[in-house]
Amino acid sequence: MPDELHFERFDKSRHRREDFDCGDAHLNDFLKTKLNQQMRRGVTVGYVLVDSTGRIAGYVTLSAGELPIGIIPPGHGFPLRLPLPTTLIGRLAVDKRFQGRGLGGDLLVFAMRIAVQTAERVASAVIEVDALDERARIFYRRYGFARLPDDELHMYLPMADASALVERVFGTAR
Amino acid sequence: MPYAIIVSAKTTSYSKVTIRQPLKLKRRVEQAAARRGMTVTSFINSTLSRAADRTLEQARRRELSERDQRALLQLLTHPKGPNANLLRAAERYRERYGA
Repeated sequence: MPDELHFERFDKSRHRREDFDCGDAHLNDFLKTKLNQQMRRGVTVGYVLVDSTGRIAGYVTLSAGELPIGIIPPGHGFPLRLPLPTTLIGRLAVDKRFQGRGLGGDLLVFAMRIAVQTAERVASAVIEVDALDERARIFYRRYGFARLPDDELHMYLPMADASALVERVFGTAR
Repeated sequence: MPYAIIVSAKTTSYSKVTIRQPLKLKRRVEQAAARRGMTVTSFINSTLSRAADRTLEQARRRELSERDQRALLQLLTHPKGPNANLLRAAERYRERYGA
């Protein structure tokens, strides 16, 4: 039951990742062999949805990113050229045995709350997600993420929308 | 005569690569290698290695087309607010895990 589950920052000594299976070999493998090391290197942070025994039902990863923008017309409040600071949701996966309960949406909302809280202190203009296949694109589109005309592999949600969501549902952005 | 280039892999395994090269370039490469006190093979390998790193780094860096940059700015300057599905998901999240 989802109410027995809770979120924690991934910790390989406490969370059971060995039998995690979301149906996608790359996402399974990332959790089992790469996430811990990437966290130690400071390139991503993983959060897991776990039960009381430490079994992982799903995970999501967050990193800071940037997008080079070179064509900003004046008068919109942006500097004329800038790397646009972003928050990247790199990977999001739910174990097969836990699918069909809306846990993907839970992981997404959790990640958006962290993104909004962090952006209060270190600016970020947009949440970007890696949407590498059609399934991911459908998932993120449902929650309002937008595609750009040429870049098929990423989708975007303005941080302003995420902030408005957090404020409306959780009362405060902080 | 084409060079036989030894390209070093991760540690000490090697493979041979054969390329055709204009004679003029071949002579310049030989001269340049000599100036560095390197064999032609190690000169080519170190030069190629740097060039490959640079290219791969550029590929890793994200670039958006001009059309995408405009679309992104349009999105950021006209946020629509969270949609109904996202609001529902957040409300369910609050019920499940608390605020």
